[in-house]
Amino acid sequence: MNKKDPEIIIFACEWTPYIGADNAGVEMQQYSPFVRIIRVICTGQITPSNILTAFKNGADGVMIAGCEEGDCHYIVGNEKCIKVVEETKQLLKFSGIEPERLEIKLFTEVDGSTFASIVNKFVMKIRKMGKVQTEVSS
Amino acid sequence: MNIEKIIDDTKAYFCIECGICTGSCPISRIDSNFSPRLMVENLLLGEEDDVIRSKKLWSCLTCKACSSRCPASVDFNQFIMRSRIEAKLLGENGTCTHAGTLKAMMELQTTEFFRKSKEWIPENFKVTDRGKFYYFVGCLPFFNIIFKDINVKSIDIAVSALKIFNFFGIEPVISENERCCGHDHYWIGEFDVFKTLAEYNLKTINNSGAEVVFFTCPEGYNMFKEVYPLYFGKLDFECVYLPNFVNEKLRDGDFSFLETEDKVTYQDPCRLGRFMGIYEEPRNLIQNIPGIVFKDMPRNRANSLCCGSSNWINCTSVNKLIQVERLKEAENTGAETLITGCPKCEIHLNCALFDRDNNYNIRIKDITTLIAEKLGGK
Repeated sequence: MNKKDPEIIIFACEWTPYIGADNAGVEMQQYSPFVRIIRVICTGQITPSNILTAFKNGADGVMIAGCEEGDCHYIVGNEKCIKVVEETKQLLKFSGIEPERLEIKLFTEVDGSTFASIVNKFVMKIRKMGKVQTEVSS
Repeated sequence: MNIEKIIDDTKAYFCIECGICTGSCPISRIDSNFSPRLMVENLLLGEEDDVIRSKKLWSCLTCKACSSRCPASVDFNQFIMRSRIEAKLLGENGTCTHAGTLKAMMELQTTEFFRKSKEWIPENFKVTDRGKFYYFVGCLPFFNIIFKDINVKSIDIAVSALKIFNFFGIEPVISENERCCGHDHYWIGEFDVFKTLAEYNLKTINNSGAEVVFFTCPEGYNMFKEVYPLYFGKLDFECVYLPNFVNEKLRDGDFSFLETEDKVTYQDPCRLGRFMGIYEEPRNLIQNIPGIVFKDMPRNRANSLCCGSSNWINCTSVNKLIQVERLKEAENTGAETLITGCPKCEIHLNCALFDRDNNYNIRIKDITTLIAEKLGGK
């Protein structure tokens, strides 16, 4: 792995996006190798500390993949997560990390190509922004 | 294990089993399973697992109510802190409050790329990058974001401090490289994180050429004044608690307060009171504001009750009951405003105001905010 390659964490809800990730494998869809997917039961269980710890440990971008609004298996998990992401973005802004490095994407479909394209788009965005650490030298 | 060293360093062997510590402990009053005396005794008797492996170890507020009264001068705070370091080595841990957000936020500050944004500074205030006076903002901008849902605006304290500085013609240094003071990690036994944060802070302050560092948070003040010198030697600058500085100015007759109408009482933060012995200065300031009726709570100064939680661990119904008890005590004095010197007291007591069983007619206000509001002509 190149030092310039971004490291991206994806928290994926097991009900829609994670099935999408699974299907991406079955359909042999190609997507960026820089992402690490962490399966969560529901995006509602993600706390700001999870996201902050990811950045602390060297992540350059964090994407949260949840289910569509109104489609949460646990009724309001994704709505709760949207609030958490909003708050965490403010915390990141006050910590010298661009809030754009954190994103929440709500998935409606479980097919692999959707998952792969959304992930690729996010990785492209983070690649353009560069590593978090590079800001120190600049 | 370094159990013997803990006993030696904290002079736990002097314990005379009088039980004053347990009688003084705000937690023991409500949760009879928690007993500082038994913890010391168990460690002395060699039953380390009862202390180190116990969940009770993380309930201590480190408010110093016990050790300030101990006739044998056992340093129970250090005892708890050192035991927690041992417990961490065994993989034990307290339960983080707020889903660990605050702890994660402080740990994020150990990274090199961390920059504390200056966005909160309103445009009409004068601050500089290098100078003689440094203002240590601490965690206030983050508290402001995390606790906005309980109506706590911690950033008001920092803005008020700027107002006070500018009033006295001081342009304080505010640095982006400043970190958390490491208070919470120090007391929960994560020594490495504390040390990293402290090193960053000392480097930042020394680079800014500051001679005097001002604090509005007693925890940061206590850390810089008492704990940093233990590990980093004598500091190159002077540490001042901002209300103390205002108090000196008031004594010199440099300014006067505006007239107001309020009934207030004062909560002694443990870090300011029992740790640093600052009891009279804040009271003097409050009483000098014309029109304010000041009445102390029955438990005041060294006997003051803790705000119920510290270090962002183990906040349970016990802590909530302590806060409710304190709020009722404050209300019984007839006060409409409870003044406190610590941003954390403000947060914790405000949180208890959401208790649905009681309707409180009291507000919580920080002393720095009060001073800034009432600053009058020179």
